[in-house]
Amino acid sequence: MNFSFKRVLAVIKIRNREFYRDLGALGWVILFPLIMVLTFGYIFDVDQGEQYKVGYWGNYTTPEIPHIQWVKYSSQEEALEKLKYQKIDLAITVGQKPAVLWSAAKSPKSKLAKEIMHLHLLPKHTSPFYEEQIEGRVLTYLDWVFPGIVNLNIMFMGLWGVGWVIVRQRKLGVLKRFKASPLTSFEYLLAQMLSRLIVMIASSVLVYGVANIMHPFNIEGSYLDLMIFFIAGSMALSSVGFVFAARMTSEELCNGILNFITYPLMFISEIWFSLEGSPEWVKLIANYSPLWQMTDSMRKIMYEGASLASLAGSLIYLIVFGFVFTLIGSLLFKWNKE
Amino acid sequence: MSIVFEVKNLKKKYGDFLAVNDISFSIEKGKCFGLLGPNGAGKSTTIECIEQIIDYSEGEIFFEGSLVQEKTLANFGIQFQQTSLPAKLKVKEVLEFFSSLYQDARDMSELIELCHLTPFLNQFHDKISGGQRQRLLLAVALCHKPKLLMLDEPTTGLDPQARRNLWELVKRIKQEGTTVILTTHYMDEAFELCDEIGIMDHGKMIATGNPKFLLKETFETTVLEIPLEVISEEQVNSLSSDIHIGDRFYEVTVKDLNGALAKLAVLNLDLSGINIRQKNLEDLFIHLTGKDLRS
Repeated sequence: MNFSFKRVLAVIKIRNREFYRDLGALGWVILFPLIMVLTFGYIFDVDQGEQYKVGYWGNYTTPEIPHIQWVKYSSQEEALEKLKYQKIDLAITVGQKPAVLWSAAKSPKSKLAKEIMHLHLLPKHTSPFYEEQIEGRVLTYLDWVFPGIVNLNIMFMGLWGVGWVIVRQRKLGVLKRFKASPLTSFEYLLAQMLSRLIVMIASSVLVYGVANIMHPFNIEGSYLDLMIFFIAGSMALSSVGFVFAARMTSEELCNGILNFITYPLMFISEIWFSLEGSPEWVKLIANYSPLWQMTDSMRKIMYEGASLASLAGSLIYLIVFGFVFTLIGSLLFKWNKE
Repeated sequence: MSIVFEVKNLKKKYGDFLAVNDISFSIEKGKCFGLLGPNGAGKSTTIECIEQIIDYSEGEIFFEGSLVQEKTLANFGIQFQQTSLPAKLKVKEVLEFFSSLYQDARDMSELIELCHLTPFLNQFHDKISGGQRQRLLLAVALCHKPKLLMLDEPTTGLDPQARRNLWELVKRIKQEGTTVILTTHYMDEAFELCDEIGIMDHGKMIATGNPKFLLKETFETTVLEIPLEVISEEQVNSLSSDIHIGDRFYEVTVKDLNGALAKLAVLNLDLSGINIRQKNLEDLFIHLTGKDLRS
């Protein structure tokens, strides 16, 4: 059967109609990220968390200090780069006297961390710290967590809005009805992905607009680059749904498996907290997560002004990931329960 | 009339279970072929094998002289017994959607008129009655002018009026020259609509042919139903040796109806409550399988 974009458009049209006529789903897709932004952005921002991350390099036996987590880096440059974008709260040079304590200007967390360090370390040092500040923009927790929350919503929409919907349509016999028409499995899957992409873009733009009114974001990079990563990441996350929905007929089993995937992905993908200071194996696994690749790249574009060229590796990974998983999903796909 | 469709030695296995066991039949152009049988006989499985919704294990299926392939399927339309339509759509949107999947779709207004969809065209498809839903599903099956239409138990669960409306619709479709395969377990439906029937049980085809011819070939008898209180046992035994005693009637099977009626007249009985009926497809099914059709 020849490919027909007319048939793809027809499926996109009915899928979008189904979505916007389901007020519950529509409300949830928009309200979920907004509620998360409000909850984690404002409530947790007041508390600022209890742990402060302090970077160091070289050989240094780190003392136990309450509320301080030590993070080792290979060089001063690397640690100061992390401090600049507030992935850590302080950096300390210990190979010289006096030791240098680097803090991030204008960062309340950095100031608090510095106070704790003074309180615990000063009595033991013969000479006081020499203090340095590096300039960087003030990043609140809301700034940092916002791309993660939007992408988390994308992951849920990709897995449930594509994967679970396919399983439900198979179980109800909708796919059997489609099979008795000229619609091909590739056209059907492509339409599912594109219709979700439209919803993802529309809802994310709306969420960004509302969140931006409450808390203006200063985007340093290009909006176009941001959109390119958004689309590549959304397609990669939707493609995971294809693989799991390829043959399944039980909505309950599908739900369980999708939960089993999403929770680990959420925790290793730096959605809620930075992975700085986490064991190396966690960071290694995170590198393979499309959610992490997407979120980390979007944060770099938003707050570090990173260019598309500097993030080419991540972009290629997301595109290849999406292509491979879509291919596997298409090959495994069955219309029927048989 | 030429054979347009033919199934040869079709088998469908699920593990060791033979759902369809070596069945063969053929249909002439523009005729309606009825697949009859109880639930689980293999009727729906046969239909789904023909439409290639499921793969069959053995056999061959021909349409217009050629083996059925993917491109041939464009000539087929199907109304499934168990299916769903995409959610949250109005009746008109369902038709627009399915029509847009085909290159050569039937004119929408013609389809709406043919299936009498106008009164509920702007209603959501999950809010319409059972009869209306079956008409919509039939319209979906017809939206690309199929040459072969398969209807899988289209009237199951419908009230008598809705059933008769659908029968009229199927007759109109036949008049257009469309060949029809109909599965049903309603004998009256098969008798009304089908030119040929195939009776299936446990996956096997146990009889095929014209329904009237099959009845005539199998039964040369007539049944007299006489109320129990009207006639004595001795009197009824004088009419025939083939007598079944029911709850309210003696069912007396006779070869010579005129002779039996003459004997009854001599007995000077009140005959106002007697029934005379020919053997029907229900009787044929019981005769062939030893069990009731809807058991």
